[in-house]
Amino acid sequence: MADRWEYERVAQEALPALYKIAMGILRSDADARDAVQQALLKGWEKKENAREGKFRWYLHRILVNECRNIQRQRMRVFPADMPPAVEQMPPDYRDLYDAIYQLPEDMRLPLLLKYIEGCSEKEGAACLGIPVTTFKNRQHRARKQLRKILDREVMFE
Amino acid sequence: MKRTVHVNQETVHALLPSIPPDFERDMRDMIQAMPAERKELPMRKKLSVGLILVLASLLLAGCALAATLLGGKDFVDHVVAPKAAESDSSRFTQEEVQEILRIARENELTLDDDIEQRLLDTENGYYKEELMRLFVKQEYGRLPGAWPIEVQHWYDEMLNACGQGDGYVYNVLPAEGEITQEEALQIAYDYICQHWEKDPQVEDKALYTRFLSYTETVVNPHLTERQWILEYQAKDLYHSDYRLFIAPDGTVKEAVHMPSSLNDEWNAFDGGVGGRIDRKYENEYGAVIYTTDYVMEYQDLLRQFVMKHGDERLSSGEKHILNQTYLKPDSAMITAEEAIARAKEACGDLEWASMYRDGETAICMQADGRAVWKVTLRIYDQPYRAHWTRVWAQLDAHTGDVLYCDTAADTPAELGGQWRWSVTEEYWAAHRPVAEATPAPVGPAATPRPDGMPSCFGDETMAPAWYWERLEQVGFTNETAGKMLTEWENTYGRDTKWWPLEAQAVYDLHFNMGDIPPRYRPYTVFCGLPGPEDLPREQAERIARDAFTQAYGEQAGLTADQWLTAAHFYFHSPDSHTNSWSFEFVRPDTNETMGFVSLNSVNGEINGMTCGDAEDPFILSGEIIATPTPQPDGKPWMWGLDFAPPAFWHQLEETMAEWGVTFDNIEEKATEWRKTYADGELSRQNDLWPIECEVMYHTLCGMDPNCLTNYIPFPKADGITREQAVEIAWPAFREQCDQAPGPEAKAIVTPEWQAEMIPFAMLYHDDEPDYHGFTGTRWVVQFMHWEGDAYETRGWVYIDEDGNVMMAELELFGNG
Repeated sequence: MADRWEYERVAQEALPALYKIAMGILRSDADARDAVQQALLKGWEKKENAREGKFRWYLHRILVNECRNIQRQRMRVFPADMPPAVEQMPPDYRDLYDAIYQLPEDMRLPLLLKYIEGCSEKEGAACLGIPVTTFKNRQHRARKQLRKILDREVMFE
Repeated sequence: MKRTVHVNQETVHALLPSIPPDFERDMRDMIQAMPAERKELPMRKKLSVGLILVLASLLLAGCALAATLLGGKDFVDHVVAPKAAESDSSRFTQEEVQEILRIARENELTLDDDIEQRLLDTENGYYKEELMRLFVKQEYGRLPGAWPIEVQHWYDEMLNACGQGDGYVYNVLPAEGEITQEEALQIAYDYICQHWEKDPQVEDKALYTRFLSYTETVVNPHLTERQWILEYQAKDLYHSDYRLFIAPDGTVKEAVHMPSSLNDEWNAFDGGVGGRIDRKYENEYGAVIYTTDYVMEYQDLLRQFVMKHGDERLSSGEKHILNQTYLKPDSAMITAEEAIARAKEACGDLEWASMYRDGETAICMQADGRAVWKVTLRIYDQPYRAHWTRVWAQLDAHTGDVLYCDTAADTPAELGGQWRWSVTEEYWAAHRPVAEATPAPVGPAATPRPDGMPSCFGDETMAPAWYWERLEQVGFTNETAGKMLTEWENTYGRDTKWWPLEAQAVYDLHFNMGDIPPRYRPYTVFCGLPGPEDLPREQAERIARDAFTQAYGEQAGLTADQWLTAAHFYFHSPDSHTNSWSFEFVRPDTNETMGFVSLNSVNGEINGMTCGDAEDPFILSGEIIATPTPQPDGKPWMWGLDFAPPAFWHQLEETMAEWGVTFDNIEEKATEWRKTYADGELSRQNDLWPIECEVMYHTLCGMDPNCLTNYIPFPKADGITREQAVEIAWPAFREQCDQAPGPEAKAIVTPEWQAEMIPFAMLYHDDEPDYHGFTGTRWVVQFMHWEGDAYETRGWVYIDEDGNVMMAELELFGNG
């Protein structure tokens, strides 16, 4: 169970990452803002449900669900808004960005959680509500898929 | 040879934009402003007949207690608690409440007038535990955490004795050999001096509220933890907050320092102005009440803050408050209550969420050259499924005339407004008269099952019959679950991993799985029970322990047989295509996880294994995430499900054959389509593909098992085509631009803009209403414009399958 203090601490710390993950899923600033805001509100309301010391991942879990809700509500099945910085990216990054967004969501999310939030497999699985082994499998599939799209070897560090 | 692509935190972080500073500031502000609240669920417990008789005899003496009663605590002990013990109910009847209040008055004990009136006014009585707490608060203050530890301990025991506790005493008293309260306070004081502040004034009651408890928690069946929890909350903006956890031997286990808003510029938001004032109101009045007094005090604190730090760190809401002229209501004005009542009357028949924490407010201020009441109301979301839930009204403070009464949009997409928490909310107002926007109520929620079981109970697509029978045998119903879970928690600790498998199953069913829709039931991972074909726990645990020992050897100085084992059993493991056992190995002395092993429950094959601070591999959670597996014939999990009619699946099969698409090559085909139909900046815009490709890709690769209400259908034979949808959408979009206020909309309809605008049309079906309330199949035409660095959406037009425009809307400022 998270209390007010833990809520404040965790939510403050996680905020930048929450936004990035929401952007990673929704690719729209306005939608990402909505998702983060709703996640913080729901996180507060349901903080009692979080396991002790696991509130950060609980919050991520809520965020992922909120992003899905928004996708559903706004019918943005295929988000189309481009990130403003994509043009300035080095070519390698841009290709990678494109490739990551060609991944189906179930493969993309483990990737974002691992590399944006630094989630361990256990933590990432907690966020998505899936078994660790499934999380691992999806990462493996994502790597295979990226390799296919980029036509290059892909190293997950 | 092509270079290897390295994916790491640095590269992925660089791919995504950083959080915009204004949004970050607003969110931090919101987090700070969340008020502390404590949910308490009174639990019922039966008492022995003997105890009831003893307590009843004390009750009979209640009227004669006047000479000896000292305060609320004694009154509860001798009168209210015995009365509570008379029945199992968690509530007093209205007659009982009246009787208790009568005895209290006779003993010269009174509650606050408004509270007493509220108690007398309720028709259904009042929660026993809350009534007892009210009387104790009269003597020891509004904050139970600030009561003396002896009172906290007594309160826990008293609740258990009269059947209103949870059977466990959380607040305890130090035993022999454990540090005393005075020693704990001294240790905390020394710690604060040593680490953060010389001579902190934490014991000055004018400056600080002190919360102190000595607690006992069952961590697991082998470890019970006792500790002092000490928290100093500053009452002003100038002092820091502290929180310390101290072990019975005096060791400081954890300490937190929260610098004040005004004394530490760099941490200004860690002790934000809004958070402090909310806390003050909570501590003084029991809740944050958004009154004119509150806002005026808030404004005053903001001014102090700005004098010291400027307004750069203030949120837009705080800046708004800073710039308003709030007025003290005088006798010539209508009251706040009257303003709220008149505003509601002007809105018509809506179900108001008056108990919501910021559900209704009335603030008196100067606006438009006169004194007004600005009223905020909120409707319940559920009965209406509205995309708005708030109403803003403005009334002349002297005459009470309603000047306007408008809805407030909850999302940026709706009318360009954006909802955020605030006291007044005026600064982002996007108004629409209530009369125009009132949504139709939707039907009532699903009827509960008459047998008191969750809706999924007994569904054999979810779990075999014997599983449901075993849950029945342990006595599970919706009614009994709470009590059963509390008893397990008291016995085995809060962490459910230590609970027996039946208890874990009841927990998961009660909290997570009860109302799971039928379509998800065959796929969702949840806590089950081993059946006749599964390995028994002992055998499975031995396999897991051996495998873990073999893989990781001795861990942290302990051999495998010294570790504690927490076991779970899961249904629908997607990895093994059967059920699975999961074992977590834990250090007995520190409760630290050493690792876990998951294995196939039938053949014992290892599914996964980790070493370290592993969490159990599956999650007991509050949210449901289905994890689908392919169908036995190899078709993907969604194939043939009833979210789409049989004709759709038939057409899809034919289309796949026609386009050479299989379940295995769909991703490769999609890559080809991207190159062929939507290259460059629009390569991810699937609406540029032929519609058959879009349907195939979305159905096979884009379906989310959690929202199987929507899909992309094929256009009906006699309906409009995608090209016709775009043609129809254009004039509707232009008309919307013409009608919209402001130069931004006008700019969109210039020939230059139109030449650059790209419309995308997608056919879409959803059984659930979207935020406009639309259901069924419609074309969604999205107008996008290249803004120099990105495509931005400028508008949407919704068209039914026959070509009728359902709605057109603008996004004047794009998605930013």
